[in-house]
This record gives sequence, C-alpha cells and structure tokens, in this order.
Amino acid sequence: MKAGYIFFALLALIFGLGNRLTCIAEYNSIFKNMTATHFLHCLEAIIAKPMMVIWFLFFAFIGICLFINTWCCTITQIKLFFRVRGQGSPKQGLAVQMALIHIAALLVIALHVLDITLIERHKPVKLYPGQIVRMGDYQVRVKHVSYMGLRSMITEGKTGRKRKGLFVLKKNFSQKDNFASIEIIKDLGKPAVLELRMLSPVRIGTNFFFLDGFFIAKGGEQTGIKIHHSYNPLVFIFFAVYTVFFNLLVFRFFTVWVKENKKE
Amino acid sequence: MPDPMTVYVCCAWLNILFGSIALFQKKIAGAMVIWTLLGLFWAVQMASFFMAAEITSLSGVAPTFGIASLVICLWQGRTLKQDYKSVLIRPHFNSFFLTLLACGSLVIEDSPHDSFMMGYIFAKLFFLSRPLSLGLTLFALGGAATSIFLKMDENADGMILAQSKNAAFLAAIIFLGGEICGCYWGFMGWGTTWRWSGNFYFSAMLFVLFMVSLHVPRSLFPSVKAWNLGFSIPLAVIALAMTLSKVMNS
Repeated sequence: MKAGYIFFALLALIFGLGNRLTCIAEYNSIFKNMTATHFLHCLEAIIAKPMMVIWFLFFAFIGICLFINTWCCTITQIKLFFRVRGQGSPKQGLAVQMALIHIAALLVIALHVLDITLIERHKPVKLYPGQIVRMGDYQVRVKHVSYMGLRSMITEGKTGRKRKGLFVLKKNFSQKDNFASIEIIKDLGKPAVLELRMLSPVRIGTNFFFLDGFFIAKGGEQTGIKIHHSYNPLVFIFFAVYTVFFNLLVFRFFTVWVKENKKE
Repeated sequence: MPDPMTVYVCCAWLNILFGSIALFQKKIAGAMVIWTLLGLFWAVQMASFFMAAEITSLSGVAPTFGIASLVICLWQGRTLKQDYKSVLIRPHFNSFFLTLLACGSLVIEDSPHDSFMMGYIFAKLFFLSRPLSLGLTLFALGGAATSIFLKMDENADGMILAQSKNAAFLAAIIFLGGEICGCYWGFMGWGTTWRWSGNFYFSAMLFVLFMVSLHVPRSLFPSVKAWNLGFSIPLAVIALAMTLSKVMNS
C-alpha cells in the first residue's frame, strides 16, 4: 500500500505537470499532434524538447511501477483469498472483492498502454461531394452532403474554422438533418453506402470513420465535410473492462456501506 | 411570475446568509431548522436555474455548485443529530463549504452550455458526475477536518472517519463512472478514448488524487491526525481544483 500510495501521488503530479505543459503553445501543439495521430509519429518533435522527454519518460516509468505494484497487490490478495478460503469468514468475501478489483485495475492499465500504442488515428481530411480519398485499406467517396444549419456557422475565415464544435448550439444543429452519405470500398469489392453523422461514427470491423464537421471555404458556395478514420481493435474491450471495474467498485462500496451501517 | 434568474440570485444570497448562520449554530434544534432551510433554498435555486436554462445544462458553475450543495445538505441532514450528540463540528465545516459554494454560484457565465456536442446523453452523465463527486468530496473533507481539529474519543473518531472514507470512495466511484461516460462521449464525438490534452490530464489527475486519498497507509504517518491529514490533503486539492476550474473557466 505504501508503494501504491507513493506511485499514485507521483502519477497525480505527472498529470498535473502535463496539464501545465499544455498551457505552453509549443508543447501543446506536440500534444495535439499526438492525439490526432500516434505518439510515435511525434517522436522527433518530442525529442527536440527536453522537457517533453523528461515528462514522457517519467510518465512511462511511473506507469510501469504502478502496474508492477498493482500486480504484486493482486498476487497478495489472491494468496490471502486461498489462505482464508473455506473459513466462511467476512475476510474471504473481502479478499475475493479486492482481488477482482485489482485484476480489473491491472486490465485497465494494460488496456490504456495498448490503447496508446496500438490505436492509429489519422488527421481529418476535408472533402467535397464527389471527391475520393484513401483511408487505411479503404477508399472513401463522398456521395452527398446534407447540411441544414446556419451557413455562417460553418463558413471558414482566413485561418480556417471559426467556431469550435463545442460551441455550436443544439438549437442550431440537428443530427438527423445534417449528414454525409459516403461510399466505402475495400479492395475493389462491392461499395457500401453509409450515412455518416456527428456523434455517430461508421464502423467496419475494427475501422471507424468519424464525421468531424461541415465547412464552407472562404468565398466558396459548396458545403464540404471533415472526416477522419481510425483503426481501433480495442474499443469494445476497453469499455467492457472499465464497466466491470466500475461495477466491482460499486459492489465493494455497498458491501462496506452495509457493514458500517450495521455497526452504527 | 418573477424572473427565474432573479429568484436564483435571491436564493444564492439567502444561502450565503443561512450558511453563515449555520456556522455558529450550537443547538441541535436551531441547526435542524437552518439545515432544512438551506436544503430548501438550494433546491429552489437549482429549480430556478433549470427554469432559465435547460434541465440538462449541467456543465456550468451554477449546476455544479448547486448539485454539490444539495448532496452536502442531504448527507449532512442524515448525520446532523448524530453529529450534534457527539459534539462534532462537521456541520460547521460543511456550512462553511456551502457558504463558499453559494458565493461561487453568483459568478455569471458567458459561455453557453447547451451546445450540440454537450447534448449527448453520455456528455450529460459526464457533467452530472462532477457535481455529485464534488459534494461527496467536500462532505468527506468536512469529516476529516473535524477529526484533525477536534480531540475525539476513539469511537467518534472511527465513526466519522469511516463516514468520510465512504463518502470519498463513493465520490471516486461516481467520478470514475463520469470518466467512462466522458471517454465514450470522446470516442463517439472525436474518435478517441485517450487524449494527450490538458483537460484529460486534469481529469486523470483528479481521479488519481482520489486513489491517493484512498490508499493512505497508516504506517507512513506518525499519528492518527497526520494520517487524517494525509487523507484530507488530496481531497482538498480535488475540491479546490474542481471549484476553481469552474469559476475560472466561466
């Protein structure tokens, strides 16, 4: 527990430092690129900034330490379970709960590592109806764009998009009316025609296609879309493990709660 | 019919007034009346806010501080008699927090909270988790602070600490639930569950701080008070970070 406490405290410190680093423009642009693509694509930029290297190594080191510590705790909890098994004491139930929580925590940490290393995102591309783009193993063609919102909201200025998606008001945007019809083809196969909407990505196996937004270029008339593609084989396992972890914690809370209330 | 925001501001001032009165309440009868009024005024303040804004606007200062205060009122109401019987000063700490939250709720916001992206159900759950978690964190902090500043017998100390730890644990669980919903929202909206961004680091830091607080080992601290301090400091950082980030972003 001592080591866990120290590692958690250090990890909190690293996240706090990371938060501060994102306030500095030169670091934030690297972080943004890491989110938009993959951290390996940004290695050169990371290496060029010693502070980033230190932060990243420290983050990885503490992450590994925390994983090893959680692993050791899990083994201790499992051993405890086998020691008290068959005694029918409350200790047995506690040992099972704690062992399961630690196993789930281990899986969560492992999945985050896999998430960071395996998942490949690609930068968004701007497309007009009729245009074709290659995304991973797929060819994507925009068939039709339906945009019923305020045109001023998506008309770009000199430097591109005017408003961030988070500030587009609900009353000005309908998910039903605003969509793009796209054709996805793999290896000269039969094209699949799909409707792509905001907050409703299209999934083909472990590949996802996201609609990032609509745009009208400065001085232009035609409405285009911004889409991106990502390869993510882990997303369902990721949420399943997190849900199990959450439920185990809820169960543990109620066990403690009932026990405490009986005492009172 | 009065303007809902006028009612909101009036209730905020009443909450500041009654929160300050609750700070000095020494008798259980008076405390019960004041705490009931506090719960009532916070409920009216929230209702008037939701009448002016949308019921699902959960991300701003007003809903965050209002829901957190309602959580404190409810949990404190449950333990009020017990606290006054044991001469615990927890209600005074909690009324202090309520007064601060009422002051904070007067901050006027410019940024809209009814955007399309925030209208997603998982976004709502994410935003709802924050005030619930903040309320429980403050309640846990109130209990821990009581046991730091007051000389108590072992039973009272054990009971109040157990309640604080339960509240902190529940806060951590709700926060985690919110994070999972936020991750899902992030995935559906932006295609990513992990982000190398300031907001993500901030959320991760708060969750890890909950873990720090819940993993405080007794053997690392020379006395029970120091141990309680070790439990309280991460919670205080969480509460400060959550409230200040809301006020400063408004």
